[in-house]
Amino acid sequence: MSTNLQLIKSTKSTDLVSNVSLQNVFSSQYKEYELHITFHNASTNGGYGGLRFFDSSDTIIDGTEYAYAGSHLKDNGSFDNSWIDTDATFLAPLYLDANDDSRGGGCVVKIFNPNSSSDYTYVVVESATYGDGGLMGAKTLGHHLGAETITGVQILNVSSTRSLNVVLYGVL
Amino acid sequence: MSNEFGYVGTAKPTQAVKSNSGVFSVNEHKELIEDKKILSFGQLELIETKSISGTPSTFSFDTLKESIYDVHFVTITDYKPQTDDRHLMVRMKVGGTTDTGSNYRYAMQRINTGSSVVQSANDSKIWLAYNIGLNREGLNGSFYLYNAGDSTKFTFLTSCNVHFGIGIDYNYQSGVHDSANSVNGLEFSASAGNVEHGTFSLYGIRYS
Repeated sequence: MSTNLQLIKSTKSTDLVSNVSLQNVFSSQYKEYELHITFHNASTNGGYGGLRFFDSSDTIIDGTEYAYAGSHLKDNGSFDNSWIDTDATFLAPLYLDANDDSRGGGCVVKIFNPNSSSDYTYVVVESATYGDGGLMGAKTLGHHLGAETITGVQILNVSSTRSLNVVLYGVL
Repeated sequence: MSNEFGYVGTAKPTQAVKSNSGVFSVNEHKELIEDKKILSFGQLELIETKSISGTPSTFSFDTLKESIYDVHFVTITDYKPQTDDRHLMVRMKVGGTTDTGSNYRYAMQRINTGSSVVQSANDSKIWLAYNIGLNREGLNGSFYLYNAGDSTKFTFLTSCNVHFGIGIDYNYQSGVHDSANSVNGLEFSASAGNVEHGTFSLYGIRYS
């Protein structure tokens, strides 16, 4: 049973960035992690967030080694359940349709077993942001398709740069 | 702060989380914890736990300590309405007053025997769950709250709940209070009738 969170690393940016990397942050001390993301602003409306990992050599894993299934929740209109891929170069969506009006938003990414060399690394995501079309939510499950030790994580801002806080906790 | 952290003179090091210098006595360490200048054990910090007593029409957290935390976490244990098959709503408090205006949006995916979507824009509340049973197992779940203390941003939430209503019912959702205000409280109530049973715990997540 999880009992608490312990801060590992945080990065807070008021500048618009295309990605944020947290390297050498996973260890044998924890099996589960929570990555908390809160948003300040974006360069433009639209875009979405993705995730990929660093391997034990501290090299970004950008091959077709990710699988995911995600749902795009909306306050009106049909939910978009087409976010499915089995050989993607990163995992998505973490978040959707941010905006350039500084409305904020939040995302929690739960990461399981990154330090294990014999297990896949799994991810569960939930988020809420606000685009021109109103409320945008994401619920995504995914994993890295390789039994190897993962040492870090990179957040990708696709089709839009964003200013955001990224804080990683170990789950005790 | 009274201590010198083992240093003499005026050029004392600046103490900050994950950037501390010196050899600390027990009292110095205690002072640093109180001043939030050293990493302490556990960043999930309990603000308040409340259990429903009697059958009130609403149930509230009136202190979020929103100036300290950017992200909050709320757990709900064994919640039941007074009347069978009622929904559970949450509203935000601004300046201590519950906002009942059309300032909410939500998008919920229900997973049950007949999977369905619950969604709304310009609503007066956010539903956390639908059709919660009185004489069944109640509702258990949690949600994260984002940006509550930032008066320039909207306040968002993401939630996951499970309960036994008309069969097993699991839901996940995203919601927003789409008014740029500092939110300093939360109010829970049922779709009709009162609330009767349950324990709610509010946590702040330090350094978020």
